[in-house]
Amino acid sequence: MAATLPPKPAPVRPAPIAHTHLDRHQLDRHQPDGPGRVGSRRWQRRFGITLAVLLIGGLALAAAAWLWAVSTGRIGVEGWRERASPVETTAAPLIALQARFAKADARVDASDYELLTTYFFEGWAAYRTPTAERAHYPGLPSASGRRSDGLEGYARMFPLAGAWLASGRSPLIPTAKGPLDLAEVFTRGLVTGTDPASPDYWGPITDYSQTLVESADIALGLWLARKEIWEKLSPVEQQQVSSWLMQALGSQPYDGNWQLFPMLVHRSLKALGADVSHFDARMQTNWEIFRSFYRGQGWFDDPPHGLDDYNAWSIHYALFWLQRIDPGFEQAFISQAQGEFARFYVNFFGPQGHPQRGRSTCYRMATPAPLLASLATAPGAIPRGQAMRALDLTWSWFIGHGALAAGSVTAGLCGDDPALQANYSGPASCLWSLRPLVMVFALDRELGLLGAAREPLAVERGDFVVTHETTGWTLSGTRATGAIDLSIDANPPVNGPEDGPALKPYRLSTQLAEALVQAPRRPDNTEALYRRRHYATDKPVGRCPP
Amino acid sequence: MLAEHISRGALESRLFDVCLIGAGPAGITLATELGARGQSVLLLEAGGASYEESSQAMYEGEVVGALKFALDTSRLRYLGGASNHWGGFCQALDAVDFESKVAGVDTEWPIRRRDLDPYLARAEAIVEIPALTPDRPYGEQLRLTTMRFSPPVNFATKYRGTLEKLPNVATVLQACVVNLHERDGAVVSVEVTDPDNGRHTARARRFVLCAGGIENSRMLLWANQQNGGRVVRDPRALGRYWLEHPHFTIGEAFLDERAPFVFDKWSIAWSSPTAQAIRDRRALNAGLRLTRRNRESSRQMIADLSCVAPELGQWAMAKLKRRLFCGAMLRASWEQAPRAWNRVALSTDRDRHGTPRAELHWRLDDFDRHTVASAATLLAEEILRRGDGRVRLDPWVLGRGSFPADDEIKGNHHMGGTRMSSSSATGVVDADCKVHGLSNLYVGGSSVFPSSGAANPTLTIVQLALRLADRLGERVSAASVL
Repeated sequence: MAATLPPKPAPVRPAPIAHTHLDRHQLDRHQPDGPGRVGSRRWQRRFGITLAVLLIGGLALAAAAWLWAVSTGRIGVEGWRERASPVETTAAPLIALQARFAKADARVDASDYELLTTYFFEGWAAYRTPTAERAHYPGLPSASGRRSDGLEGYARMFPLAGAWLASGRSPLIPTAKGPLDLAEVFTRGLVTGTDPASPDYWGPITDYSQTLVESADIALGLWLARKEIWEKLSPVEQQQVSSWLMQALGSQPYDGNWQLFPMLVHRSLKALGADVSHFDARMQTNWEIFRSFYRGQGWFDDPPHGLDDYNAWSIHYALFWLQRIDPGFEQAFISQAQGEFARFYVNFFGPQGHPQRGRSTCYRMATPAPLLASLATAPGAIPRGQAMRALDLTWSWFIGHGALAAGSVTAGLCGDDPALQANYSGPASCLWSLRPLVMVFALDRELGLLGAAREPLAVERGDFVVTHETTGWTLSGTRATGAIDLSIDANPPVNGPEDGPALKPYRLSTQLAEALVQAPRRPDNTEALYRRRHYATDKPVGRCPP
Repeated sequence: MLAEHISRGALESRLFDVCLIGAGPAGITLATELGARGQSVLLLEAGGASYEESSQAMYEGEVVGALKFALDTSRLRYLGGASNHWGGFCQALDAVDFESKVAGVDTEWPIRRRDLDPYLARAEAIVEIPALTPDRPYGEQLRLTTMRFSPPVNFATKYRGTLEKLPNVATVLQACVVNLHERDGAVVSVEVTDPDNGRHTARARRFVLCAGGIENSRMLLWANQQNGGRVVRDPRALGRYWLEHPHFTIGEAFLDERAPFVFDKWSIAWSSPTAQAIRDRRALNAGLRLTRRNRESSRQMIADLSCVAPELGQWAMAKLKRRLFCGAMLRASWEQAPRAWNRVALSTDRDRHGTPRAELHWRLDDFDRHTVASAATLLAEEILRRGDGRVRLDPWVLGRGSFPADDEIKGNHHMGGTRMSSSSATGVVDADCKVHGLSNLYVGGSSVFPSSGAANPTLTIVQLALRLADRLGERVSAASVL
């Protein structure tokens, strides 16, 4: 049926308005059908264009401002976009290392550890600056900036160089670019880095600074290589190096393992003949405060995270050197603490590495350090063969699982993993992993470590369960698989495959945010690293291909 | 008599009953008390009669720690001592302040408040404060306290005439003690220098150090070093357990006009946790100060607040429109946990007499934060519960961030270092303020406080000085009889 259309209404004419006193703008608003009235198509078009222009202009302005800020270094961390390219080692190729350390069931010997160390020296040689005061390793930068990361590249290798030199091994290291003279090049770096007039000066050591952390390794390296480096410096150079290090003694550390950094500088300088008596009282106070964090059986609270592997690779490592440099320093306490610590901690190690828990995952190969320390400070606490077996298995397992690349240590558990790389960690931070190697080369002559007969660890001898009074942790091992499980009853029970909080991934959105602010915004995985009920070698907290 | 400087041979010629070292509130109180009892007293003051830069420079030293302050401006080195610049704020310690409150935090005094109560009225008269107004409860766990104000009494102005008139009290200015000489378990004399480095010897039957909360420790540390450890024979606590009253702004409050806070002449309303709340919360004592702002400041504060807490800001704005409303800054000073590592040590730097300068190792820790957070939370909750207003606490109080280094930080209340304890392992003086192991060396002033409470220390210093005067009086009488 056809519809009948209603008749078309006659157009309505607006009533004439007397607007002699109105300006055009007011007139438009009072003319409902005027050409520019709000809501009309023309108005909408004009509005849209204006908005688009403003938006595009605003974005362009913001982009220009961002580019200007980035190019002038006004936002972000210093040197964020400057990344080193990885270099493969040739004198000590990774593949050779993997082959040597794969024979864990046989035995890793002195030559294997020498090759491993050569691998790191060769890597360092590739990344060092021409004046050698820094080494810029490939990897994600830290929040402290490139210059600070580069200082870590020097400082965290220096003790290994010092121990190597002091062990009587050749100072000449084969590298792709020819032999590297360890003593000469580290001396050059030291003199450059401590020279305030140099453009490559390491900068002042201030309260709570990264330079304060690194000063401890530099002081230790200097003490280890006192014959090869310190004694060969001119008096002026010695004064310059002392003056730089002495800044650490007046700088405030955070509570916990940081408090041992200025102490290590203090004892090293004193042993090298510098007058540091002005700082004796404050170092004593520092020590007393640090002691107040002692929980017993060799464990210290390390605020704010409490009990974790910093006990192993930072606290007991530093205590060992303090006692070594100054044998009269707290001998009874350190001996007892290190003995008791080692007796429990040795059970963490097995053919599958050790259950990894806590921050700074990439220091993972440093965990055997307190076991080696105890051999010197608390003889008999654990057998020498077990300490060395733990060291062999740690390196063996991690080398087999992506711990090394391009002449350095990867920043993760099994290879680089930004989800596990804290914002304070840079490309060279993970070289703290080399700390047991420093000890091995420093102690080998005295304790015969590298040639020692290895002895089976607890998990290699049978199934075991150990509950530890101070930490409240239960450690269990299964001989058949070699797996070790750390159970923490104090953590909240969770039903699920993860045994607790999941690891937050390093997402694309995080990377975009980092690109925008030019600074690390890597995920904070404290919950996953501390609050799980179980940490087990066969179910590692980080990404780890089988 | 009062001498502006030491005359050659004047000190050596006499044996005094008591030699007092330091003429601040403690030393002057002891001098006038003992003088009035007929004892021969030598009062030695290292500074002069008025402020002098060169004298004050002797107080330079270093504070080691994240929170710094100047040692040469937080005390005064001339007749009257710190009373030359104190604010006159007076409170007596609470009974709970003398007791252990938290396991592992040694706040125990070997005496109780009842041992000092007999001296309260006289001490109040000396510092010229009105009678005590009793605390009023504010909920079950807080009390509204009253600060009493001394004019403030300047001990030099008030007592100089008395010191000059007392025939048996010799006050000597510009007389700096640089060593104590020990023989057979007693101090036999002190070595005194004048500004020209001339050396003199003063002898007395008893000696009392009243040089202040840092100098007492410094002097004993140095004397011990010079005497082969025979002055403080068990030095484990010497210089240690040094205390301040930390002073910080901890937040702000908006108060209804009906809130029962009474603002004093300094526009401050005072409150503290009850003894039971202190014990229940395993914290130490604290003094909370609501400092009233004017209306314009309150508006600005609300505007600032609206940026971070819009709902709270809206609520505050509504209240401001409805009725008279007071914005208040919330400040706190509290009882610091006694820690052995907070201490006076001897620096390698020396003053012009060759005495090592003081190096003060001082820090606050998480327990201190717990104490202030505990008291502040109580107040915030009680104000909210009663509908008396709202409180916003600064993030660092609640554990996010460190103590702000740009705040007032301290109250210039130097306490501890020669603390009172029944054991020489944990203290330097016994309950009678006598140095453990010596028969005739005493310490006066706040350096004997084993713990500080939250009360300003001057009133307690005077109470202790009066009590010590009684003890010294008793012993002189006994000696006379013998």
